[in-house]
Amino acid sequence: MEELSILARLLSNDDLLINNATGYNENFEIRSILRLIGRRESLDTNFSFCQIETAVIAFYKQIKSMPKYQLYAEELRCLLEQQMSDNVILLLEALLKRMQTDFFINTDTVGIVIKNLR
Amino acid sequence: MHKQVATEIIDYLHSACPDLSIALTGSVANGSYNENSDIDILVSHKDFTNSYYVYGYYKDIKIGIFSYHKKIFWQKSLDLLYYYQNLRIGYIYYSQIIYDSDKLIIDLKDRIDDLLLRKKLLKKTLISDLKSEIKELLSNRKSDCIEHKESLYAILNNIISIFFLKEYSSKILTKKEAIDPYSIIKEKDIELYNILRACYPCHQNSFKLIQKAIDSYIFINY
Repeated sequence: MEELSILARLLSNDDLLINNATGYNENFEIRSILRLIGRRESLDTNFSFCQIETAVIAFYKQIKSMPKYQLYAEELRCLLEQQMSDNVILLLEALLKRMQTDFFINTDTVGIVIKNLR
Repeated sequence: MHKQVATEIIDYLHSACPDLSIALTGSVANGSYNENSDIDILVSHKDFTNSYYVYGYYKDIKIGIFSYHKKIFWQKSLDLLYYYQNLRIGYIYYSQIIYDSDKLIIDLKDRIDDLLLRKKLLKKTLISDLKSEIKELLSNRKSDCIEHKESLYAILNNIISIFFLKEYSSKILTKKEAIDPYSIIKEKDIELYNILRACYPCHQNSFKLIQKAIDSYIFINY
């Protein structure tokens, strides 16, 4: 019940959610994009490429001014400058998984991700 | 399995915080879930001051918890009025209330009814505003590749929003429809569907194609 107990604790303490939100948004976005990539075959290829690209552009804009993600932002930019294709998606997926390993693997041990909807 | 896990989580949240308003939402609430579905739970509390989405995994099922505060309706009021992506309010509108002693979820649902009424009454103005924005985006071509793509997607997004305002101004999309609005467009207007499909994803002729389609079809029919 550890996960549930954490969820309940988070939800019963509004301040805790706000104070601990730093960094969670990036992890949330990466997971969301990887999920979009994972289920892309359920949608027409043209539309799924656009959905993924829109989400990646939003993520790129979110991280491009954050020094710790600078190298990744540059790599993302190079991929976004190309026309979306299966090959670009593969490269994107690998890049995002690398980011997850480098930044979030040790801080997300119970798999809880928080997105501030403000 | 999903129903059982959902009940377990709701019981746990209720015991941990008895005055938390809780509703079951998403595919488990409407019965359309399968073994890969998430369990989506909506919560609200009188002491919460903001809105959050928290998710985690329990018994290998993704558990999404949406915590909504009523002020999201004025923070996001323009987006909710103009654009078709109203998944957030869908989670509220289609939810099954389990605990709501402070009537917080009922209040959120009332606000959605009010929003839908405003959308219906204002739809001509809203469509006209979206068209003006499209014209502006078309006249301000961006040289930066990423900004160029963003402009195209903003134009196409506005076109889809215009379609939904015209055809379904009172409709709240389900999660499935929000992910794939194109199926609804295909059923109602195959020509618009084909235009969108030809422009996505962004390529060197996308802007030319959409400009032509706007002049010859979209602004005439919508």
